[in-house]
Amino acid sequence: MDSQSKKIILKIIIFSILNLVIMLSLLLFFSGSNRDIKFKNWETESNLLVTGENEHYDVAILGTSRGRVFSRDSNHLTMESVLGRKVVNLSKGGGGGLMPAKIHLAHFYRRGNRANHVIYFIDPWIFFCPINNENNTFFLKDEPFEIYILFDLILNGFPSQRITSYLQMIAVDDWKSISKYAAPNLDKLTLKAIDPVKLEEAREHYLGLYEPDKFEHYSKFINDINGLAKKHNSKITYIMLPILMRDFPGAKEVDAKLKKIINKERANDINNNETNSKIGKQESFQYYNLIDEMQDRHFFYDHMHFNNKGVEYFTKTYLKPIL
Amino acid sequence: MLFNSLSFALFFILLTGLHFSLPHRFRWILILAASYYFYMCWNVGYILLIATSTLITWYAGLKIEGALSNKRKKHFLIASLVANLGALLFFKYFNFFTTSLFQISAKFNLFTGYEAPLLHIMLPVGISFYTFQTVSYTIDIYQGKIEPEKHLGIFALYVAFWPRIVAGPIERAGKLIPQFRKVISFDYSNTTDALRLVLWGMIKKVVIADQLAVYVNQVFDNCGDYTGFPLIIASIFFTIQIYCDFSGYSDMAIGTAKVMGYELTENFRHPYFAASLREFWQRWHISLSTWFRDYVYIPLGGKRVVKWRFYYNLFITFLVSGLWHGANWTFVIWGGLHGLYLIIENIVEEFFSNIFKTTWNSIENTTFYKAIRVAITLFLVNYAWIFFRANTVSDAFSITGKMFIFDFKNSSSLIENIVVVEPSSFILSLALILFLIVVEFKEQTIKIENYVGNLPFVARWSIYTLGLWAVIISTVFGVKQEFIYFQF
Repeated sequence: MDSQSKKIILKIIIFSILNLVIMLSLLLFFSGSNRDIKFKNWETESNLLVTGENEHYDVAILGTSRGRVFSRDSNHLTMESVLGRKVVNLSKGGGGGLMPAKIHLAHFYRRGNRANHVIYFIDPWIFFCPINNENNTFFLKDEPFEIYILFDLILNGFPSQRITSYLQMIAVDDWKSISKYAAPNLDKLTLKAIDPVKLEEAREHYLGLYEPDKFEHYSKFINDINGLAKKHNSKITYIMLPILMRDFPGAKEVDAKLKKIINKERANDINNNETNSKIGKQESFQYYNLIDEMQDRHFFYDHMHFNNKGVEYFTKTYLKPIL
Repeated sequence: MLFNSLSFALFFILLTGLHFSLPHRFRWILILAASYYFYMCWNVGYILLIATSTLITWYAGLKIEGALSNKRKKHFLIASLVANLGALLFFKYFNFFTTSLFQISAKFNLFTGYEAPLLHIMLPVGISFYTFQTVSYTIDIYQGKIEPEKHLGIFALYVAFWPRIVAGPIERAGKLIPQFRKVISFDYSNTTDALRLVLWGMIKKVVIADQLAVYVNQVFDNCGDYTGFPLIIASIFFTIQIYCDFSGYSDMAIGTAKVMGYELTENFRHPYFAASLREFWQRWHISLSTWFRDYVYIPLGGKRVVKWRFYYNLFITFLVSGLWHGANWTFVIWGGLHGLYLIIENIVEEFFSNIFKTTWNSIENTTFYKAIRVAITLFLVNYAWIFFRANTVSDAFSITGKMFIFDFKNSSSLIENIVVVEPSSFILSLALILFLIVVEFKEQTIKIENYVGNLPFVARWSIYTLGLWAVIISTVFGVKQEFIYFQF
């Protein structure tokens, strides 16, 4: 390499470092600048404005809008009262999938928070749909800017549009008004009838969004989430929530995959610490498929979301015994 | 892969590094592979189209040279033109021609009850640009201006050379191919000049053009809602937007090629300072206007014919140029308008020079006269851009019909009437236009990249840093717009 080449390479490196330092300084300056804004889970759909720092929860919930209904309206307080436990809900409406769930759980732990038990209300479609994962435009819409979330987005392979739109949180304050939007009060309603036409439409809708070749890729995020829970000494339980639709597309594949992953994790767990099973300690990894339970429209406000009654019944009948 | 993306930055750094590390004899393989990869980032399948066009043109070039009779030469030329222009017509104009034909037929009650057959396929990116290169190559060989390229790889590189494959400049074989054969070594000052040009191109595109697009899109996409000032301002903003968009792209293409040691044709030379329409076309999209001059206008007879035929040649050339831009009547009208402008300009110039005769030269050289002519040219160009930007012909006529109707009664305030976007966005647009005008004036004497290059170290690096950050901030927080000429 001649001296001219060396000169320009050196200059480009110095210029790049200089600008990277400026960039990092700016990002650090803006990161977490809204941590003084605090909400309760039932006052917002945002997660970052709720979780806080160095908090200890009994239960942390992950999921999509079907998990989010457990905190909408008065449901959160009902759930805490029934369980007798302090709960934080990290579910995201708008179809928060496995990739968003990993980001939120990682950030929850990173800020020094702890949870004895993570409950992941798992849905079949999050194993198949990019729109719930890397192409999800909603899951950070109502969250303030945090530099580590930015790094997580980059490291987890989110597309540049998601990264850019999250960076925009620095300058736009839409998230402030969006984060104030809490429960839409739909969960006070009751589904009038189980309509086969609508169910068929929903099935077609999901099948249209499914990309089966992504299944294995998204499944790997279960391992990541398990790893996070394990590292922070949280038990983790996956629950496939009831849906008023038989043979939901992809449910069987997800069921088989989860059983396989959980069995593997349990085997590792026992191998690592055989005394766990001997002293009867509850398994660190559990999975329940409850998709065909509670097939009564009175528990739902539409074909897949619980209403208040559904949340209360599910919490009493299924969640409490699991915990 | 866009020039203003992180993936491109990585691609470019890696490619430049490899390019100068490899021995000269292997470089064409590297650049060709990179060019095909660059193109495939848009559409993998269409690379076959380029490859086929390359093979046909290369083979036809060799056959034209080797043919013993003129008739046979002509056969190979026609075969090559049919193949290349046929692909362009098929992919770009099939839907336009069929829908236009059915619309006309419907007026005569023909084909009623039938729907025009439409192709539901994506337009191959850059097809208009690389097709013009293949066409000029075979014509140049036929006319004996150049020798055919024997090396298929080098010829493929001429067709697909990555900095210009998507939106030009449209290069001539006689200029570009010899550069692939020349041994190029790294040149420090050449590289720094080129990088400054790339940065300036990015600023023009990402910072200025995309910012102006906010107002332009709002007004042009909802033109029925506006009269008067917003329409005038949007047309002026678009005039600047399209210049910054396309010349910005050209600067990036020329700059990136220059870093690797290749010189592409200058595409813009401050076109809005032109004092006549003729001069405008010597400064705007130079690689295209010279192509039309050499391969359409001159073969039609150019100026060396009777007057009416000369006007006809001008008009047809610009009509075809309009159609080249896009399969829409708006582009045809835009081209037709420029053809008409040039015809009228010729008539008026001839008329005045005949009246004033001896004093004409002295009048022509006055600053006042030049300023008036620049203003008139700019106004006419601006007016024609309305047809270029409008979504439909009726939109264009609606805009031109309402742009001088000022309805003060219904508007709550004049400012509100004018500022149809966020006030901060509008003010930023004005500030950026002012900045561009200052730079363009300065560039009359010295090129921006050279001017910045001569500044002291601290000032120079401060400008680089500010420029880079303006691009980053605009990329992240601004509204991203496709390069306008990518659609052609």
